[in-house]
Amino acid sequence: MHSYSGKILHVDLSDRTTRVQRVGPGFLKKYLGGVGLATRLVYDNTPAGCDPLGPDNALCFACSAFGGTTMPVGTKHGVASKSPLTGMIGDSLSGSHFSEMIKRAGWDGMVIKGQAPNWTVLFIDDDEVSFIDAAPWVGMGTSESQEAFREHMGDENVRISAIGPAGEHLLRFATIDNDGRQVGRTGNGTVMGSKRLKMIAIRGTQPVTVAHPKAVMEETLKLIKVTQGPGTLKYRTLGTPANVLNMNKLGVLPTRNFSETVFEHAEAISGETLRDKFKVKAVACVGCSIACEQWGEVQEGKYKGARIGLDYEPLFALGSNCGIGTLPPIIALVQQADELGMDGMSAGVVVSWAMECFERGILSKEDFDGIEPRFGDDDAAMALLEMMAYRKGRMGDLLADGVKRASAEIGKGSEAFAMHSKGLELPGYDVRSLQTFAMGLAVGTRGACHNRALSYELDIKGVVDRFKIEPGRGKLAMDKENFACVLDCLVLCKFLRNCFDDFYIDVARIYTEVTGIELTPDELRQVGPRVWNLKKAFNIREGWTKEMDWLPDRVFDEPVPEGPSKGSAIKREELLMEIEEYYEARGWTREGLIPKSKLIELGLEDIADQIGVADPVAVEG
Amino acid sequence: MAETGYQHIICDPDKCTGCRMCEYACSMTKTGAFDPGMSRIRVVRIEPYTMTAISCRLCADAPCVLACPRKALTRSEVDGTILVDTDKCDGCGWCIEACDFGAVVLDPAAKVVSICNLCSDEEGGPQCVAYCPKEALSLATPETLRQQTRREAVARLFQELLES
Amino acid sequence: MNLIVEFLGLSRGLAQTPEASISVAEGASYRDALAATAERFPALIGPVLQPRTYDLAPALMMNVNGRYAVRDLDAPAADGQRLIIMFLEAGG
Repeated sequence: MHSYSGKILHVDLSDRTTRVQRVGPGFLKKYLGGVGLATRLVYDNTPAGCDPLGPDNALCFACSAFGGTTMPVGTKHGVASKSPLTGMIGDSLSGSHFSEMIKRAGWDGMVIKGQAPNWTVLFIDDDEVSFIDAAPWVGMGTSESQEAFREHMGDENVRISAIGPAGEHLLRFATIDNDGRQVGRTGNGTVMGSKRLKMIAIRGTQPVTVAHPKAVMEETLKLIKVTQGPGTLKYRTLGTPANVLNMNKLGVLPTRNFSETVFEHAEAISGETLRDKFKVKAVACVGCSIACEQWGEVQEGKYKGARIGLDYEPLFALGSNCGIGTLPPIIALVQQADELGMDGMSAGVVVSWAMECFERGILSKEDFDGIEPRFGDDDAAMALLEMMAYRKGRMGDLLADGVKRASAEIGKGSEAFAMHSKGLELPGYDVRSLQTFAMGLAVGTRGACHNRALSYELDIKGVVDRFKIEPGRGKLAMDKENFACVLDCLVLCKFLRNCFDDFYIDVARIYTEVTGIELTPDELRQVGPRVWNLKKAFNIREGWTKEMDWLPDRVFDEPVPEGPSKGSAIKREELLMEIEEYYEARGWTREGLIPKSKLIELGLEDIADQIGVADPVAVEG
Repeated sequence: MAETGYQHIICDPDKCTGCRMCEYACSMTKTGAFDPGMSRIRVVRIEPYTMTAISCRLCADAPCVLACPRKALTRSEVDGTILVDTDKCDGCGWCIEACDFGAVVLDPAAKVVSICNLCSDEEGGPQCVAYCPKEALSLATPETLRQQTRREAVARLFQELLES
Repeated sequence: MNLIVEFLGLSRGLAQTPEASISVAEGASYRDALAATAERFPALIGPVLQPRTYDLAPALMMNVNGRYAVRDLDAPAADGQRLIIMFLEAGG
């Protein structure tokens, strides 16, 4: 085999045993790698109804078919587990050095189960596995612990995935950090913390081979040139923070806990300002020819020295969404969220919910142990991050569980503005005037996720009328999800998505040139619905019901107050129709369940019996 | 040819993004597999955003040549690169200790060393330069490097004057 | 008619201003408005606007009043509209 090794490492932390699972080309080409393979491994290695924080939850890593090769922006990896935040599938992606090392150590994936009796570092040295006492590094931040352990090992080739204090304290949206990149959403860091696994360290010394080296190098050179062109212009110049002014101009920039959609300080926190006043460097992941990470550093003032590769999502969440209107505190807050090891998006939306509760008098200064979290108060935001990471006090403990659980506990109408779907906090695009995207978020298998939905493109680019719900949205949204899913399984970074003449023809060919495994464009295309339905099947197995595909009351009951999207709101009956149209496009029943025949058609025969239902009956007349 | 006439690979740290494509291109060219450990050019990445690539500097009075106890290393008069006689080299590693730039690579299985030879046997020249997405790598002599740096400094000065 | 052209991202760096007032004849199209913009800001020709046709560069799009994306440059513009030139790519 080329690129792939055909081996998956299984580790049981409870008794420190390991075993090797062998997989062949037939299996690999069905799921490809990344999120697809990781989800399959979770499905196969967790019992139905397991406690996400218990020993039976499987934390699964899966390589990219292109990892460790020159294929641009293919050196990434997928992680999945049953999410402690949503109770549904929790899949996430990361990239760079750690992704490369999984391949160079000779593994296509890892399945980690059990629970270590003490804090542990799992060290994988090519094919040798050892368990190291993590005591010297427990309590350290994510980057601090990676640097410290790497120094301890004395080898820059030891690459590490680490959790920070947030993961150690089982904050439900904790991240796993590797090389400054994050396995960000749904709490895979929490699962790692529940297993008392402080770090996974890998050193791989083996070469990665490809089936047709000359062809792969030619494709690489071609893609390197294309990725310096218009398809990636935004990422190479301003990076994702270009979205701040874009979204503000459209009146969809979430402001003050998604109450407003235009932020009066948008210019000051924009990608333009970041570039002009704070940018120090554009940095790339290993194997990336784009270099989207725009690092900004604060040179003076209260936050002097704060620095981070700033992306749009944490920027909005801890910025406009918290009413914070300058970049220095946002840079510092995102850096702190990263170092503590928590999802910047979820953290920002939890903080903004807390701020609104305080401003409305639902929660008091006493509830916050003396902090008065008002919108715009960066000190309060910083203090709340700390409280959450360490579960300090009743409020820290509550907020650490995410906005869904916190608002359920507090009540008093706070659930109406707890901005999540299925427990996953909303991303940076106000849905009231992005009405295809509203459905995309509601039906998302990992919760409200723009990255898995991609349907906001339809609304923003004007493919559809964003202010209305009309027939036909179901199929459009499904096609976007399927495409995103294929990228997540290969793995190819989404920022490459506009760099191919014909994506499925080109990428299927490149996949075969790299791995030697025959894959037609149609087979590649089928991975999208296959893995999406696999995620859905997992969710159904874990207790998903139709009412979970929904959005908070705010998007229905509070029309956008000002700006270009003024007056927009979602109508409940229209959203329901849109969701049911989507289910129909997917071939599911009206209740959102998957017919056996559909699972069989997608090559998921083995779960058809367990999950599949009868075909939906066609309505006569 | 004068000593200052030899070209070597240089990296502009402002343009380098730390992607390490150069390591992949080099190792594939030289070994037929993607094996950054065997790359003759290596990226040094000091987190979070300091990075540059480094390879053989073609030193005059090269310490590696002087250090070799078996006289396995010689300096080419054609292009100044260090040539390794693989019959004589037994992988002792003295040259690695002598090199001030970490530019000598040891293949632990074959027990011989490798040093960047500017892809003199490749059509298209240095592959690291060809594959760098940001054109951070180039071939330069010390003199051309000085000239380029002077030009860029002056261009920056005039641009700042124009903008102000 | 008078319109306001707003520059974001790349176009702002080239135009060196966040927005500009543009005059066009009654009944002019969006393309005419872009042509007038190119005349005021020649630096936009190439990176932002194609020479002669004034089509937007592939990486960019134009939005009217923050409401709708312009799908047809030859459609008529209207007095008082704000035309926003922004990156097409929405990824965050």
